[in-house]
Amino acid sequence: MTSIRAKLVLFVSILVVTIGILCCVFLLNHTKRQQEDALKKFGISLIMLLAQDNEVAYALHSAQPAFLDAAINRLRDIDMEEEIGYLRISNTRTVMREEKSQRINVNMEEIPTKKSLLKHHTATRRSQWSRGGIHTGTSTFSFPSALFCERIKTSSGAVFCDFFATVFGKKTFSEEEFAAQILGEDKVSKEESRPVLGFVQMGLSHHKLNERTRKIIWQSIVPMGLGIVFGGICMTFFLATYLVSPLRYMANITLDIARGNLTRTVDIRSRDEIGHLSVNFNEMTRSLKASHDEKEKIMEQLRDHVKSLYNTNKELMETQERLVRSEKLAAVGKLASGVGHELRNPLGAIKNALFLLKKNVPAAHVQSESQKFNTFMEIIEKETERSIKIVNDLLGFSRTAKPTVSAANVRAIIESSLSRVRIPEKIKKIVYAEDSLPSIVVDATQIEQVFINLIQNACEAMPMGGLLTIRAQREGSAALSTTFTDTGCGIPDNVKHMIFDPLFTTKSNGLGLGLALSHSIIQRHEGHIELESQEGKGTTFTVKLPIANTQR
Amino acid sequence: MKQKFPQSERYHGVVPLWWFAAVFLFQTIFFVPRLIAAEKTVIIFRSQQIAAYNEAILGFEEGCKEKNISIKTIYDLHGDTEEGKRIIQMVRKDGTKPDAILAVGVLAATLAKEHFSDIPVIFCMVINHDRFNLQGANITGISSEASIEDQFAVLKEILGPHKNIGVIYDPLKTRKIVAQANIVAKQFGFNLVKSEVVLEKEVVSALKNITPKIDALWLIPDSTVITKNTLSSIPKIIQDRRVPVFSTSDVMVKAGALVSVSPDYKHTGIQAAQLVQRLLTDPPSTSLGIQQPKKLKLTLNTQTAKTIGINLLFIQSYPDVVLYPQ
Repeated sequence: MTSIRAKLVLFVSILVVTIGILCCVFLLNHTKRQQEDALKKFGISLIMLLAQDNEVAYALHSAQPAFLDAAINRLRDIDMEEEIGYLRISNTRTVMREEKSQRINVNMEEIPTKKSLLKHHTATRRSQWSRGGIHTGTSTFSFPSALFCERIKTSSGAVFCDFFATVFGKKTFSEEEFAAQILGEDKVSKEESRPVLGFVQMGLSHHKLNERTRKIIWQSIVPMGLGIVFGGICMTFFLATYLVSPLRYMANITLDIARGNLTRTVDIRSRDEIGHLSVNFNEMTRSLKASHDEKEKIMEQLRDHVKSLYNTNKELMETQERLVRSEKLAAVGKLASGVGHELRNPLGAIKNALFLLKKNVPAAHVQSESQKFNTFMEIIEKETERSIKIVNDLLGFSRTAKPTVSAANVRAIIESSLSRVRIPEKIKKIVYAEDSLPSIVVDATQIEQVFINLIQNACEAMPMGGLLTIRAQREGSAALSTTFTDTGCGIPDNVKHMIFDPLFTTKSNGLGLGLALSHSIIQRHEGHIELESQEGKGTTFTVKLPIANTQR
Repeated sequence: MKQKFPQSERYHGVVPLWWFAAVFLFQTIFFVPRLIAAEKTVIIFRSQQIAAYNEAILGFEEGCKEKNISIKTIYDLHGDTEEGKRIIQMVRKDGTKPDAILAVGVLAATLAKEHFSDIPVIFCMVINHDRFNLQGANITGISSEASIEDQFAVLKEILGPHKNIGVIYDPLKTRKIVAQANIVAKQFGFNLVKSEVVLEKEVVSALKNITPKIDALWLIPDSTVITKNTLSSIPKIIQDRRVPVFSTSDVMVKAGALVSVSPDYKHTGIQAAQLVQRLLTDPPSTSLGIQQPKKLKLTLNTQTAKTIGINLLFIQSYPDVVLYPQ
């Protein structure tokens, strides 16, 4: 990407270089013209001096070339730079004197003579010198009355300004002519006679002119041109830097703002377009920052709403789950109550009958009669007891009473629970419960039942032995958590969500009421029971119960 | 004794005659030479033979009458410098020293100033005398042009004030006149629009350029501007563009200019005679300077006025007004 500064510098530099070159060319032409004009003025003064010299006129009149020497010497004294290339003086009949400079190689035959000049000026444009200027115009030439000047180039390449003047025998007073013009000459019979005595012709060489021009070129024009170009380029560079630097500064600020730093402002106080731009830019940044802040505020509110919605949704789901579970529990409880009532009496009758049967049949007879009979009797008794227990569990489940709460020590509840459960020796148990733990307001009997269920489940999950860790600790300021961690087989992920449902069990001889009952009891205590399990590594149940208000 | 009485009676009538004769002789011998000696002599150098010069000389001769000034000789220099010099050398060698010299025309004036430093020289009919440095203790003269104030007064009367007056001039010849005119123009409420030329060929283009900007052209006697060629081309251009031309020469009016204010040449001669008399009777210690012509004439071209559409009737009744064509 080409920068604005580079473009500006390039464009203006090209412009400056062009202007510099044009200036130099113009100056060169002007200088050349000036030099040529100066040469022509010098030439005209010389030729007029010669043409008006009395001695020249006398020499021409009397055809005595010797009288020309003094006049020519005077001319050469004036020509200090030796610019006179050739000189030719002739009367009306013949050339009386012809001289050429020794320094300049010129063939006098190439220089047009009087006749050719007259012929030339008769038919073509002529340049007539008068009072320091050249008359140019096309007219019919009658007789040379003034001075002519033209440029001549010889075969050797030498260039001359050729001056040609007529020498008159009588000099008139031009102001008197003018007076006659102004005052009226209609009554005057005046005949001016101006006999032509001869002609003087002189060529001024251009070599000095070229030298002077070259000197001016190298001493003035070239330094001036270089000065214009380099000065212009330097000025352009500084100007471009001056113009572009605020833009660069603003570009950096814009980049910062794009990265999110909306506190950046442009500090340019100039009273020009860039100053206006910076003011507008700052205004825009302020607006952007205000919009951004408002958006952040709205986003924060939205996040809060989402979070609130999520929590509400979660609570709703939990409530729904609780409701579903409660309904299930209610249905199961109702069923259990009905089944329990219906089965308890027959089972009691079976148990009584079995007791009477065992009492009326002598033991020796039984032993003698059949070993098999005794076995069947034990099975009946055992299964009857088991059935009664199931019935009792069902009745217990359905008759779960509203908890009667009182302050209780969780450590005592844990120890009581552990004492009521027979833990196999191959299972090692560790209890972490400090005495300083706050009391919880619970129905200690029901909570103990929950803990017993959890300890029994843990033991059943570790048939090959393991470690049971019970840890009670404060959970924030309002709750106390008790975790039961075993290193058993764990619970598969696909059944975790059903583990607290009634009648769901992973055990072959389980009824699926223990965890459901425990969950129901904890909920009634306004607590939580949570499950963390990893299949193959173990399971942790966490029971969170509220701390008594006085303990908080 | 008686006889004597008759003799004396016989000559009684002759004595007064003798007495009268003696007195006449005495007067003649003693007073006439004095009278002759008191008469002042003037020689006149005339640059060339033109009517205006002759008219001025005629006026001078008239002015010299009854002023005890006699014109000794009139020399004609034939408009030629060399010949003029030769004539003046001849006059000096002659030995007769005039009391004053009247130089008519610029050639005569410049040569007289150059060769006579001990004789009062009075010049006249010198156009643009400022250019020739005709100053010195023994030289004075009469301008051949009306003053710029007089010219502009006439111009204002014809055109009214607040006009743009154009002037074409060669700065080498008439810069001083134009500079002075610039000041005078402001006094008259004119704006002088100047155009400089250095060559005769520039005059026509300068004229074409200046005419749209001006209300009138003031044609001053500038030998670069007024030439034979321009005299033929200027009237055509100004008549085409209907620009009135104001000049200092009646020749210009005859050529097509609207109006000119110029000196009465004959009266200029008379004024020169008065100046000579003043110089000779009461020689001043310093130069008298250059006098303005006392009598002017106004030349109007009625044909040009008609062409341009300017009413000059109110000015035709003025004295010393010459109408052309008559």
